[in-house]
Amino acid sequence: MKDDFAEAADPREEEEQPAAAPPPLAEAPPPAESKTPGLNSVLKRARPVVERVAGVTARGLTVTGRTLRRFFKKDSVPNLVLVMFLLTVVTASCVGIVVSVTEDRIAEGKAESFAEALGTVFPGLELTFAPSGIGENIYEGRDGNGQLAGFSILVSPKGFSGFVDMVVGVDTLREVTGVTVVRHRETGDYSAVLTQGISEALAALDRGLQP
Amino acid sequence: MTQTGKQFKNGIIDQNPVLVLLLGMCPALATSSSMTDAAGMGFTTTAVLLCSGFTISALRKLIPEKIRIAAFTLIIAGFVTAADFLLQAYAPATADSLGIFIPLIVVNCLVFARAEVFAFRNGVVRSSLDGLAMGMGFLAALLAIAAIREMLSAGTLFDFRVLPESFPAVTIMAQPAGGFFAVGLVVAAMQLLKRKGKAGVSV
Amino acid sequence: MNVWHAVLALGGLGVVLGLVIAAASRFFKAEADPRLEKLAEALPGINCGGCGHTGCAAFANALAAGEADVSGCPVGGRDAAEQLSSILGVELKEAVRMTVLVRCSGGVRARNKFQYEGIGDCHAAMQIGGGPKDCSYGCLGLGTCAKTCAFGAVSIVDDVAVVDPERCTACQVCVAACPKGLIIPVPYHADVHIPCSSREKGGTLRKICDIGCLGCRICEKVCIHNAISVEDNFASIDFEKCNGCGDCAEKCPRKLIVDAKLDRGPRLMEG
Repeated sequence: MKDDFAEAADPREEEEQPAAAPPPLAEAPPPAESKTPGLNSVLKRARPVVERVAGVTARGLTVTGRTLRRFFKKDSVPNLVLVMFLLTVVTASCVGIVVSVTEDRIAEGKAESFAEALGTVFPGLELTFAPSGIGENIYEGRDGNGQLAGFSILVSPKGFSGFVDMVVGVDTLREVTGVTVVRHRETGDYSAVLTQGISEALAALDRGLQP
Repeated sequence: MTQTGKQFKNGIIDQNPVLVLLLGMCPALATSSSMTDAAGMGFTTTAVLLCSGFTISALRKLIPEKIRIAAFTLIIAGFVTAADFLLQAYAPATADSLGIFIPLIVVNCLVFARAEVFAFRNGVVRSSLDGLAMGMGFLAALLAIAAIREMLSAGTLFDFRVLPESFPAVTIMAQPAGGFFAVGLVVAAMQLLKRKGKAGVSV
Repeated sequence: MNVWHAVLALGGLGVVLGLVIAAASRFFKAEADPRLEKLAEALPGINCGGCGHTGCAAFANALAAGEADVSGCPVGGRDAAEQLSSILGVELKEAVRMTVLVRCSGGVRARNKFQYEGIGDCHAAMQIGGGPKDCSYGCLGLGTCAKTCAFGAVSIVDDVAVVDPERCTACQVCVAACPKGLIIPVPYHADVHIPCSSREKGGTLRKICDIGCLGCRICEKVCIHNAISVEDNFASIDFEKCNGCGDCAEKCPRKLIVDAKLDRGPRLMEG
């Protein structure tokens, strides 16, 4: 009953008909009845490629299967351990490849959005930010001439459904220039949390400036 | 109807995961507060379903019965991790708004159930199609639920204002309770549709 | 090189997990009936519960214990039944096709004690003094059973419910729906039925219904197979013993007993 729908990927059958079309494609549906001629021709051209790839994969797997069966019975302890090991190694490698491909992009994106967020509290000014020495989450913004324009402070006061991450901009005269909420999970009105965030930011700055 | 057509009809209507099989309700409730989130979750889950269906079906003869649960989890987790990183790199906004629900796709009972019930016992092509069809059904259901929730709570669809500003915002629809209401309504609507489909039956 | 660290770490984890699972499967091994695996293989594995058990594995257990019938899986159908019976080495009994019967023929022929004008639902009508019929056992004819039938097999004819055996799948949803419990499952091939559930004494019944059973016992005496028993003015047929000869139908003074072969009876059971 279980194998009702399975194609005959029995290793022995593979041996007897080495030239036969790879079993998995034996019941592949015909190219989709598409109304657009362009799509149809793409599908028609793609099909032999897909069949080739599928054929190679199927043969590779059946060879692996046969080799395994030669040495290990399906439910024996070594086979269990071996299959687990192979699966984890292969999965980890594939994930590793994806990670290494995307790492740089992700880091770039994070740095970009971070710098952007720090800048939103000083609207109209082009500032570059660097960690200031006066506090962990306090970044000093300098304009094109190297002049200190103010501080961007990261705070996370507690909201109603978790923390609200925000950036508070304070200029050199200890005036608040702006507040940007980076992340929140609030529903509805969270203005009370904003005020709280501002006071927390100012407190952190004051603490930092007077060690 | 062709075999493929039947499978798609099965995944989208007859055995729609969220509305008929009632699988994958957690992300359905959580990410359907806005249509963009719902679309993101739907497409990501579809991708995972497709890939895991293909892989598990391809490996079904090699995986011993005893470790199949561990094997499924491993394979699905692999694809979800890859999807997570790809989203963070190329669609950071979606990744941010879906947040913790991307890793939760690993334990989405829909993905696991299709692996166990279908992919482990059927051929590669069928299983891939099944993954795709179920994913489409999942996406459709999520969009339906999100449409109700977003429209009522914010008056927008995909962030385009659809209802006039004066329309009172039913904020509860944006919250978990509203999610349940909306899911209940859509499931009921689906049942109605299915029964009317059967000839000459009065509901 | 971070990737290799991760790969090796996970690979090591995989090995450990494999060993743990192998150990668990050995030490916690329950002595399993070797047939169980084959039985489970033969079942669809969807765990729908249609067999009445909590899942395919539970059904397989019940089969192995001899507590379940091989034709119990509605999804697996005949294929599954055949495979299961060959694994267990039992005969596959030809499932007897069933249908249902409404055990009342009153309707317009049965008197009303009041005129009912209310919700067209038998359960609602029951709230008002047990319904408008004089015979407290009789069909109210408001069609609750007909509404529940997903196959359109139940209809109301002359104010009484009638089942079309051709459309009926014996799902028994209508059986549960009838507030008076008038509908019962009967074999499809049974030609002879007694469509009355009344336990009223003959003298009373004659006044309130033109067709109902008086409890005269003529059918009981005529039946040479002892298939009919009349208890408490209620006649019923034991279908194990009845061979459908129709003698009772011939002799019934009320012409109540249905003999489908000869079109005898108060109403034809036709679609």
